[in-house]
Amino acid sequence: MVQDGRFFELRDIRKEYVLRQSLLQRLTKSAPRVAAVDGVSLSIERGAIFGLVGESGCGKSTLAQIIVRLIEPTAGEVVYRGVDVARLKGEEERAFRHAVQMVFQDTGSSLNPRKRIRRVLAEAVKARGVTGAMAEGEIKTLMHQVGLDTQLLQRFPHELSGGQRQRVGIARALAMKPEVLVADEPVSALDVSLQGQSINLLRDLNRELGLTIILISHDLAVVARVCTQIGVMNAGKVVERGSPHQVLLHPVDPYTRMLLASVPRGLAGRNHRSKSGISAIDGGRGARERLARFGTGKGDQQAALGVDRLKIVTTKID
Amino acid sequence: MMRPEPLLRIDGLHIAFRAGHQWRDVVRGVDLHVAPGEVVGLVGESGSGKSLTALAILQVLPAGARVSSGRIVFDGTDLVGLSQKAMNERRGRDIAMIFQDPLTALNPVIPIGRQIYDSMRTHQTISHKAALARIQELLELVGIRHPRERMRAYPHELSGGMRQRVMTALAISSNPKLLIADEPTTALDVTVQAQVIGMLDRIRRELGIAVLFISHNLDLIAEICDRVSVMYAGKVVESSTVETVFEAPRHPYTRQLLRCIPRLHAGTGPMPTIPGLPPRFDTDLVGCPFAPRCDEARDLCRTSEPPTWREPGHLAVCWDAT
Repeated sequence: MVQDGRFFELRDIRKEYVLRQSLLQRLTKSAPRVAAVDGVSLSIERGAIFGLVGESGCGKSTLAQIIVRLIEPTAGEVVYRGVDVARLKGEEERAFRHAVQMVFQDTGSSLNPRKRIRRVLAEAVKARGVTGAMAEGEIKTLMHQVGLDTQLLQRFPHELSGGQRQRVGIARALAMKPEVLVADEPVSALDVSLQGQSINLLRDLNRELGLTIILISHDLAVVARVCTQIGVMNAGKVVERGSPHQVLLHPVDPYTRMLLASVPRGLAGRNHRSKSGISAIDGGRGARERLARFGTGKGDQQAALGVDRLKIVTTKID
Repeated sequence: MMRPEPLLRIDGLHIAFRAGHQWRDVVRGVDLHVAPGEVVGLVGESGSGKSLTALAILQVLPAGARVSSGRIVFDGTDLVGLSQKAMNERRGRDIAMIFQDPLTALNPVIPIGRQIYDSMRTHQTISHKAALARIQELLELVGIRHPRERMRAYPHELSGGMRQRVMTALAISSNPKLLIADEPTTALDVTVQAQVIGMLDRIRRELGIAVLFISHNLDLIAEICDRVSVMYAGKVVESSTVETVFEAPRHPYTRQLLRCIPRLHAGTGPMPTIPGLPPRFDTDLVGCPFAPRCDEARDLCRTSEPPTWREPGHLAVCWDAT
């Protein structure tokens, strides 16, 4: 296979959605558009754990769906092993879809509640043409890989804990023998005490199977801990990228600095709060949508402009 | 008495769920107290009983659950067994609650201003004009700009952080003495979380409302609380000031929980974690319920229930606490 040194590459990806449009706008094709992903270029090395951080509405989940081709970008190319994946057809496309797998955030709704775990995994294995005794063997191996007892195969999803369901989701993805695993907020629904178990599993899979992992999260602390590269997204753009060390210690973009400042820091945060009184940071989420709906006051427009006009609001505390 | 009577005092609270023909305790003897104006944190994993304890204070336990014993004394009155009518007078007026998901707690078809208005006119004697002025004041207090315009907005038109502010405005509209906040920031982004925590801290300082703050993240609790109680399997296993719990925790569960919090600048490598899962509510507990996951457990821990170690202002339920 031809490779120009790059394993997985995103070239100037854009994804636009059309907002509410009037008849006139429809006729003149001048409907207002919003870019969920606004020109993202990234290169991900083979065997990396790439962390994509950002808040709700920044476009990270849209980007994840573009990476696994659940949705098509408006413009730009997804290049896997040197080939533009939009051009793949038939058998080649199928191979790509097997090779790039996704694990979803909401384990409650991504597993069919009426199927036992065994059947969920059997169907995944069958998609690769493995059935019968071979399939049973593979299912057991998969359960072992994600650290689950094979007795749980008899259970329904609701009979498992959130962390266990998350593992089933990972096992189902592994059944396709993927090269790339895209994990969208895999731990944000889990207790702090259990997050580590799932994150460490991803880390182990990366080491043992050489799996390339794209980890999407809003939690900078988690991402910094396990990722080899980090990209910070805001308003559809990657505003910062680098090693965890660079991003944490020498953040260049003001948005990254704001994210870093928002992570709760326990006692340190408490003392900081009572001293400086910095308690609120304005701007951020869903900004564009808010502009569309409430774009009246000046403050709203500033908030809507997102990172360009970030304001740190200092409340006085005596 | 040296100390003033606390605003809220929970003594030996047991909450049971019906399991077939029998009742099973899921909250197994919780003691807790909150002084007027104090912010107390309640931390624990899902299923530890922290939310049930909060719901019991308001006497709004889910169907199939009941307080099987214990007292919940609020402002001198035991709320357990209080008549529905007497409880209605306190609920929403003296004690208010905010939840994790404001979208389901707010009425989707009524503008937010109207919801606050209705609540105020129900709980207080207040004129139409005064109520409208007060609503604007409240919305400003929780950090909503242009309150006059925003009053007409429906919940779906607001972001998650804004909804949480609206719910807080609604909760404090009746000048409650106690605000129960059950994971109010878990569904929010970190930057918005910081804003909401800042807001809670501010209303607590400005209005002197006592807050019972429930979360699974100890770092968040430390940012705002004075004292913290750590719950595990239906019991408070450690309780003290935030400083003591962070700097000199006596219970291994607290120590392990502290280690698990993802922190910046913690270096790279595997994340610390607590192995295993909390016990299911339908298993019989022998010895210390945390023993199977504890990295310091001894044989004694697995067979005998641990004693409660006490020091002024500090409590831990562990064989090795002393």
